[in-house]
Amino acid sequence: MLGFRDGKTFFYLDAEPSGSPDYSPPGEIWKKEPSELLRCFLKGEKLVAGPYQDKWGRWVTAFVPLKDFDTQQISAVLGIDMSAAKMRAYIFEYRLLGVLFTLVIFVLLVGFFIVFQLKGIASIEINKQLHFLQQLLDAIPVPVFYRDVGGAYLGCNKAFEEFIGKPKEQIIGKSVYELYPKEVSDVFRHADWQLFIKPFQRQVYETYVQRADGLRIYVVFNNAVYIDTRGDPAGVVGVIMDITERRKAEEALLLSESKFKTLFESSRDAIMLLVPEKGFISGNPATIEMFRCNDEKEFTSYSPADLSPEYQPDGLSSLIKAQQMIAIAMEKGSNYFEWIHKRRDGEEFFATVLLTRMELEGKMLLQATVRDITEHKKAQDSIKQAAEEWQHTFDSITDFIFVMDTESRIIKANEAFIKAFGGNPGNILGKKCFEVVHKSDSRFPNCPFPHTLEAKEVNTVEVDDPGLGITLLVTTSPMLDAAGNIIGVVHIAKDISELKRVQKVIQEALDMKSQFISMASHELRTPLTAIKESINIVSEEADSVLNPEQKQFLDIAKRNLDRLSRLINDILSFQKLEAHKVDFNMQSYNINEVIKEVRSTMEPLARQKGLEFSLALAENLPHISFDKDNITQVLINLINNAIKFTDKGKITVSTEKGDNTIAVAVCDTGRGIKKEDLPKLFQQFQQVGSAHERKTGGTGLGLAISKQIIGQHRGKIWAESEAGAGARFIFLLPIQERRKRVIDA
Amino acid sequence: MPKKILVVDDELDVLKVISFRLRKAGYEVITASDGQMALEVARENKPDLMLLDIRMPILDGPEVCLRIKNDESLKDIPVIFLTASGGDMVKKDKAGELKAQGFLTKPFEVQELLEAVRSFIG
Repeated sequence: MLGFRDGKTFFYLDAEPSGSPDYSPPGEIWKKEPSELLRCFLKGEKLVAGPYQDKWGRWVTAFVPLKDFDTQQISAVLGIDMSAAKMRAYIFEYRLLGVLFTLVIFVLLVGFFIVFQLKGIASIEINKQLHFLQQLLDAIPVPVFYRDVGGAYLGCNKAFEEFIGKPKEQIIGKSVYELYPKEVSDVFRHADWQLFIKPFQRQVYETYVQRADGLRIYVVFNNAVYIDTRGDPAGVVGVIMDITERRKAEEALLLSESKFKTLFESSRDAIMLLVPEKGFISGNPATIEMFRCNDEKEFTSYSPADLSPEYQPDGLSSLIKAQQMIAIAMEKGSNYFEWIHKRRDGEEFFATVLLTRMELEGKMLLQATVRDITEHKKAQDSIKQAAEEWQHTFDSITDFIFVMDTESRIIKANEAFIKAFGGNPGNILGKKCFEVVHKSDSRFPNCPFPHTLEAKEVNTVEVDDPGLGITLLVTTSPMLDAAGNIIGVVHIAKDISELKRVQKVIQEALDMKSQFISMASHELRTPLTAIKESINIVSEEADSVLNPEQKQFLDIAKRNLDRLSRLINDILSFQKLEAHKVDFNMQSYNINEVIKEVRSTMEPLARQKGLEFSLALAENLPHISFDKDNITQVLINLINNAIKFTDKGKITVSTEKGDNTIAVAVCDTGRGIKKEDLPKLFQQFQQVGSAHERKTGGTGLGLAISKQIIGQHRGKIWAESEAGAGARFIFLLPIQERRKRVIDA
Repeated sequence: MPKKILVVDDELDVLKVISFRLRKAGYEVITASDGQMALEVARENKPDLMLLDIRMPILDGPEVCLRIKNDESLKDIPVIFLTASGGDMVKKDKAGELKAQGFLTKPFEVQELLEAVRSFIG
């Protein structure tokens, strides 16, 4: 049985199960030994009561006072019941172990000897109680040890074994120096001696030690001296508390404090503390710099009003307004607002201020974070300015520009649009475009909006709404967000009524020109017929009576009449082609066959001039569709030109098949064409070397007509030449898909 | 008995040179200077061939041609148009309807005229 009590309460611990022979119910001691227990508790004396005889047998109780470490007052009494039967065994074991629990055991020994002598108890079962004491120690989770004045360990608990990393057997009897490194041992011994000088003092000190597992830990030693029966120090009892975690927490706290300090010191934002009724009490370096103060001391000598102009932009006095702002922050917890501050050198700047109420050491104060937004404000102003400029530009455009959302609602419109269609934005914005523009409840038939919305494509159409009285050329463009989704459609509508009117006038003028040329040519033909025939008749009838000179003049008249009629014919042809009034009779032919037909009429002309005429025709050309008369005309024009401009050498007509075209080339070995003249060749009445042209009797329209004919066949015609090196006229005619299939089949 | 050709043109100079050429070639030539007159002369003289100018006042060439082709007594007379506009009026609009046998574009060569005439009446 083991029990102890403090001043008021009796605690009872029992190593024996209730019902065993050694079991004593709680309160038994209290009832039996009040005087001894009270004496022990009040006077601090160790004593033994008994022996007693009861139904469990004969036994004695040893009482040991337990002192509180802090107060050195007796706070408990340890009572140990010992059955007389096992006493001897205890003593025996005690001697083998050496000095253990000197004071307690000494008292016990004395007590037991007295008991043994006086009461004749042969043996007391103490072994079990010692064993239990050890178990009790072992149950304490922190390391506990006791060592003698020489520093040799007398005993310890399990936690201490683990702490040292050795079993009890290797600890007991060893000195401090054998268990710890020298420098640590020195500390311990020094502490021990300190303690021995002032026994009854509790000793608490912190140090770090290397634990058995190698971990370096911070510990607190709670040591006290235990005194032997003579009142001399017999050794040191110590409890070791691992405070590593606490230490870490302290360090972390220190670290976080230093972090916040660093944050405060290095923040680019000006952070300051403000006590509402007193003013600033602190400001970080950014604050000092922002207000251009010399140091924090100077800064804290100012009030918020000192660091502001007299009035804020809304006309309120800074002093009054600052008080209002502070009051709001104090009431609501925080307040964010814009403020004009003034630096100590007088410069004013825009700032945002965030006041946050906080409690520091029991006092309510405000933390103010002030950010200089001058640059931000400037950027904002320039954005605003850019936006205004853009708006001006938008509004000064006379075309109608408006933006619609995907539901056809107008979300933005320029002034020109607003003036023309609604008078003021309220009549326009949010309404559907057809309601505004066409005064209709449904979309205008050829509105370009749906296509742009669906295909995300730019779309341009002419919108000719008779209700509007004007013709609009409307271009719609998709407005896409960053992800490519369509969010609206921009409309640019241009009033093209005037353009249309001018176009109409031009078209009428062109028609008139065309008509005039046609009429004039016809009117010229009739008198020409009469003149020509008359001259021919005279020439034939009077052949015998005319002298050679007269005949020559009649020839001149005839030749010029021929030229005049060719010219009229060419003008008419060209005018008709240009006005697209020629109906082509498109038939499928082999171009080679047509060239061979032309050769039969043109070869004699070449030979007359002493020129060679040859063909270089590609074989197996597909049939292609063209107007035979007109293409023949082109071939004749080109070959005629070649003959005209070639004095010696040869004319070659060749064909070649390309990817989707057939190329026909007319080459000569004539004097060629200057590079700069090449582009002019196909313009009407552009004659290269007009003096020569007159001699050769051309009209200057042959190539222009040829170009019109080839162009209207969806072909291409051009010339390649270098002066002196002959010329090469090439035209391409397309091979039609349909024709190709026929050939393949 | 020479073949009889009716030449119709409002331009008297043209009428004169064509008539001269045809008479020279051995044909009997009768003339008319407008469409109305042409129809009267044709009914009266039953020519073997008509040379018909297109652009004429009162009744133009194509109209005259239509009336002749719709007249039982005259419809077999071949008609050759004389045109100053490249013959496209005949080609384009009324070629089938007019049943014209040919056309000559002014100014024409005397050989062209005679060949065209001979191709119808030898």
